Amino acid sequence: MTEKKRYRKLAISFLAAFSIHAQADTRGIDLEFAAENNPTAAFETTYRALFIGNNDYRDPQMRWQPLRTAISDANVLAALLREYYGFSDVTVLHNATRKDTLRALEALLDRIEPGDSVLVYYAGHGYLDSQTEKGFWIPVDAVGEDNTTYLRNSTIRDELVSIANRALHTLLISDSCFSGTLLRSASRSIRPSTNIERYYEKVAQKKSVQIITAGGVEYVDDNYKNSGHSPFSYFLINELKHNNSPMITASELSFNVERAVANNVEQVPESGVLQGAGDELGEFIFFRFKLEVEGRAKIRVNPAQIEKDVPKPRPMPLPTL
Amino acid sequence: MDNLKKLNGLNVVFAMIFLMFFVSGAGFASDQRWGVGVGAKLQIAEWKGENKASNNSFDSDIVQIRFDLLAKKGRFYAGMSLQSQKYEFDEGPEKVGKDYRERSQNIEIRKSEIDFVLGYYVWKYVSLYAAIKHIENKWEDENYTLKHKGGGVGVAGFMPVTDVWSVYASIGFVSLDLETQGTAVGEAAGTAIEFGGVYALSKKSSLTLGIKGQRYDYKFDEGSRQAHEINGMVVGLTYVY
Repeated sequence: MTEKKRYRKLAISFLAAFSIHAQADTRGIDLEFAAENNPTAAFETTYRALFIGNNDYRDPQMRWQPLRTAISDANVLAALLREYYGFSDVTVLHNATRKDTLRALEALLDRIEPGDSVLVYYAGHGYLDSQTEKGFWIPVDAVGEDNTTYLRNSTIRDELVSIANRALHTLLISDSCFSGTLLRSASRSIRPSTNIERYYEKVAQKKSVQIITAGGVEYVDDNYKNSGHSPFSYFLINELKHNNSPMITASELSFNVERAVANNVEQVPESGVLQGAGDELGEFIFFRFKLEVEGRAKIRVNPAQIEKDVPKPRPMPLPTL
Repeated sequence: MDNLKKLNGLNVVFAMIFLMFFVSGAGFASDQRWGVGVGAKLQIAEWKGENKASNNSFDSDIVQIRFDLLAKKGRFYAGMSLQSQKYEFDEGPEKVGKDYRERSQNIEIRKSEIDFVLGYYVWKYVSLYAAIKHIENKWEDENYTLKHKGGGVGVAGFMPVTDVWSVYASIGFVSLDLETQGTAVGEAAGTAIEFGGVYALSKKSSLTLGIKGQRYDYKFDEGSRQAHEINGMVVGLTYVY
């Protein structure tokens, strides 16, 4: 069975001024928005995601204390995206060691096909070496101040660059301290109030490599108001759960989450792009499909345009003379 | 015309490589990661031809294996191909030197071949490639070896037909200098055509089924000419790491 068969692509067509009805089952993977007047227009992508939640830190030196909410943050977000946003290839990793994390990223990379939309979510400790300005994710097997047991942001960055080289849209959401060192701030165009369809069409076709982080170089609070979630993930989940729009871009999502977090806790989330990874100011778009949409937007994206840039992996024999 | 004749295989190869750097494929941006792979091809082949001066023909059937190493990055790919096989002839290609020509009968010829290929995708399904080629035909138990050195250029393409099947084809033109015992004895020009289907066993491996034909015209300084054809079926495996 091929990858394509295992992970069905999400094909969506929108037409302005026409009624569009979601024809979906609850799993999301067979979803198709039907457009009566233009059955061929579609945005076709496969949503893949890796969620990492680290609670049970086992540092013998007790520098890295256990967290309470990282696993539930990852679980709830994974379920939400699988159930409501058509993510068909979802891996959830609990209490990941350094090796587990790298292996999971490699496995994700192997599954990616051209045109895919790929999300990586991390919830756990982070660390910034103030002398070297190097940032790290902290795996559950990290030991004290031995930063060779940490996962350097530069390593994560390399993995993301590899993912971004294959995928059309890549989004990293990092709910940890000091993840801001991964990103370079970049402003994207604001969604226009008119000609929305043209905006979505444009950003869907362009490659994106985006990052949303919980809080720059500030510590992230844990278990916001006993909700079972960190404040960042709480508002992220909230935003996706109560989103009534058929689509929301990563920039719109981060804008809303940043405002909500900053208004409620001493923490300022950040967003931007992964520098040098080929971002073309495109947008990772979340399509919510458990909706009855009434001409809310239109998007015409020719699949050939999306896929023309990257050949499908098909090992070809070496030609000879 | 004289200048054209001087444009031997190696010149063509270098010109081709130079051209590749300036040809751009519209809208094509591919995986920038390094990829390396290996391949093996089993060819059920017939080597036949004609000694035109003597007006006699020769042929031999054989099953031969070719091994490939390949690497790719972005639009570029490079590879090396090796094969060596013994052919038996009742009546074989004539041995031709600077100023002599001898009949070959009941002989075995070991044909060893090494190719270096550099290719460039001008479109996601089509690549131009250049090759440096070295062939050595050694008459077993006899003190005669005919060496071929040169290069060529070609076009290769594939087209996905289904999720797992693709059709492929390549055509190439080659120009070779001939020498024996360190002495130049002539030149050869040829074409190679291959086409068939590729079945993707996985994202990393594929099975190839095809037909390949090579045709060479040898023109010796001594004055004689030979026509050679190697045709056969090809079954191959390619694995990219």
